[in-house]
Amino acid sequence: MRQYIVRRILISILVLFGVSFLLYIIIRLMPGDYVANITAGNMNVTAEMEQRMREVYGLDKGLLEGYISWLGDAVRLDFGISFIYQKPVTEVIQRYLPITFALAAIAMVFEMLLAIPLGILAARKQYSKMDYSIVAIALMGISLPSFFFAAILKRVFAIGLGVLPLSGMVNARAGFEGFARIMDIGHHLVLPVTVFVITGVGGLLRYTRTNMLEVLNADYVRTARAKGLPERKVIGKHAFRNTLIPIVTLVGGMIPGLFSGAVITEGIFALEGLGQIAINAVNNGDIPYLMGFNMFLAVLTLLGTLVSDILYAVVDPRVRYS
Amino acid sequence: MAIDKKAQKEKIRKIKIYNNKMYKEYEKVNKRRNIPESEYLTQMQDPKNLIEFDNLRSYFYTDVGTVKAVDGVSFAIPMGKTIGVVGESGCGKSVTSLSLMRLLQGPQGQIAGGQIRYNQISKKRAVDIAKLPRKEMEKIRGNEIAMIFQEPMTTLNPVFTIGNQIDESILLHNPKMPKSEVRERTIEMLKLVGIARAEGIYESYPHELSGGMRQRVVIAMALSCNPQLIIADEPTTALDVTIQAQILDILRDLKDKINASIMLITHDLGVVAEMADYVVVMYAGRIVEQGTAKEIYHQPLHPYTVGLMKSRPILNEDIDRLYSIPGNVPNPINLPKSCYFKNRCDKCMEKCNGDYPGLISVSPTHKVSCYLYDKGLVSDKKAKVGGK
Repeated sequence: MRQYIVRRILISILVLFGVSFLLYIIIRLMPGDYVANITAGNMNVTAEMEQRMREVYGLDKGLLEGYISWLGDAVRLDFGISFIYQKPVTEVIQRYLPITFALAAIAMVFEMLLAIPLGILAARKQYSKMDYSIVAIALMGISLPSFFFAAILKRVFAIGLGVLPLSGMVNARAGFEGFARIMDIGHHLVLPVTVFVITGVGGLLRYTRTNMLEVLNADYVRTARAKGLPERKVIGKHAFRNTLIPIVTLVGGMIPGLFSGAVITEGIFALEGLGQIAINAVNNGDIPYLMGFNMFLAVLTLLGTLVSDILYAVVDPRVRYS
Repeated sequence: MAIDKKAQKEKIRKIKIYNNKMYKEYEKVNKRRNIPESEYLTQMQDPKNLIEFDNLRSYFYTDVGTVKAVDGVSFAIPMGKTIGVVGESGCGKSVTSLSLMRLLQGPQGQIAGGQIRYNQISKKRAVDIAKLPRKEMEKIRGNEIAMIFQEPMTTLNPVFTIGNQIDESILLHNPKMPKSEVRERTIEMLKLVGIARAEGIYESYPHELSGGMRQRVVIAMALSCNPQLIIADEPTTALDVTIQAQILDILRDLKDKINASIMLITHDLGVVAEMADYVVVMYAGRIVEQGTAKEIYHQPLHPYTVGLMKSRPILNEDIDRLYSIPGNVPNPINLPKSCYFKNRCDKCMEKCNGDYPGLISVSPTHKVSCYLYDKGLVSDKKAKVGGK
């Protein structure tokens, strides 16, 4: 097992080099660089000044040269200074990460708490009214555009009923401290989390249902019944353990999603998370930030697949690595 | 053409409505709590019998119509004897056994009528399994009636160890037994079915064993609670011939050791000849012939049984091609009123176009359902009385 993990990590490092190279090329090839952006419309800027600024920002180098110099710093974990924020990239990420992560993690927990039991229930009562309504609601969730759903929620709960805040993270006027502040943040997160959960729960739910259906028809479930086990145990132990196998692998793949941020939802609720920052960076051609952030996601993606492969071996004894 | 399609759609719709009505009815019956004992207590016809199937009917309400997989099957399993149930695929052998375990896949599969009387010695009473509440049935399943399935590769749960799965069965029916004793019993059972490294196998997962080993494990699991009846649903079909013989030997030895009855379901007449005391031949959901193994083998009466016997390979016989019964099993939906075997039968007569023939007793144990053995109207009446 340890040998396997070490090998996987070594392979991952190679993959990261490839990823970073491709990323750099794509980002550099974006039309309009940072200098063009900030000087646009300013008549007083001469071509000479622009050229000097490009040198300052390191945009005068060719693709390969630029990549090598970025790589030289990156291997020392120095990702440079964000053009927009004028702060080290790692600092920027650190600053906006907590809100994004909190939002995604809370949503993920709720999604799993809803999707797995409902998926199992739908599978057990296949083709019943219960099954049809669960699947219909799940599909509705998948199909709902998040901006539209968020707008409806805001209209109803923030404007209409006035029970939940419209946007933002904290109530700036109240100036809560300690526990009250946490409760206030929670209060603000209700609507965004609801949007996340409703639009995200469908996929996992349908996946659980399909897997459960397959497992319920398996011979070993019949064996479990033939032993005389009560239905509760047949489902909860014999069927569930087998349904869990594909779900666990899916969860590993969800890890990078926890950090990548949700551009639209964060925007609508005016939450300053990584999604917002990323879209800003793309618009302005903030190369160091984009490289740093995307590499961060790449590392998480590779870690996520590694984690799901390891979890796979944990839940399924047929899978062994050597 | 268009009208045809419409009629078809209408027909399918009607079937669906009918099925939903039936599902609801069965669910209502199944959901009841506190069912009074008087509803499922019954009397055995012969106290020496362990199981008596009486006019059992098991139907599947499918989207294309009701499949009468088992339609009026009656036979008995005497204590300590082996009954072989023979027939080709789809004749209702497995459905009969699953009905006995109450393991028909719902909501489509349901016991539609008839009794399955079970002589529950442990409680000194006889119960009708078809009406037994689920809780009571769970106490019987795996404990008093155990089942060995046909596919050893898939009948064991891949994520639990062998030991865990057998322990579970023992612990379920003996909740007070201490853990160490349960383990001992499991290992003892594994040794009993001829597994050499029982301790090692105890810790193994199913995928680490071969098919023959897995089938032994399944047998060990089935026998772990000393059942009164072992239902073996084609236990050797998926195994190669050398292992088949070993598995059958194990079954036969163990049956004597724990003094159980066996209901052996197979399409292999050789297996039946070796194992069974009585044989039941089924065709399209009904019994066409039943009798002692000797009677069926030396004096098969029903043209279907004769055909089965002929289509079996025999050593030292010089033939180019094995005999096969012409034609196919009839469509199980909307079966004709007349004999189901009529179209494939080489002895078909005028009379066969009439109603389905009743069971005719040829000897006290040997019964056949065929007009060939119906001796005129006078003896017909007698035969019917005997048949009952």
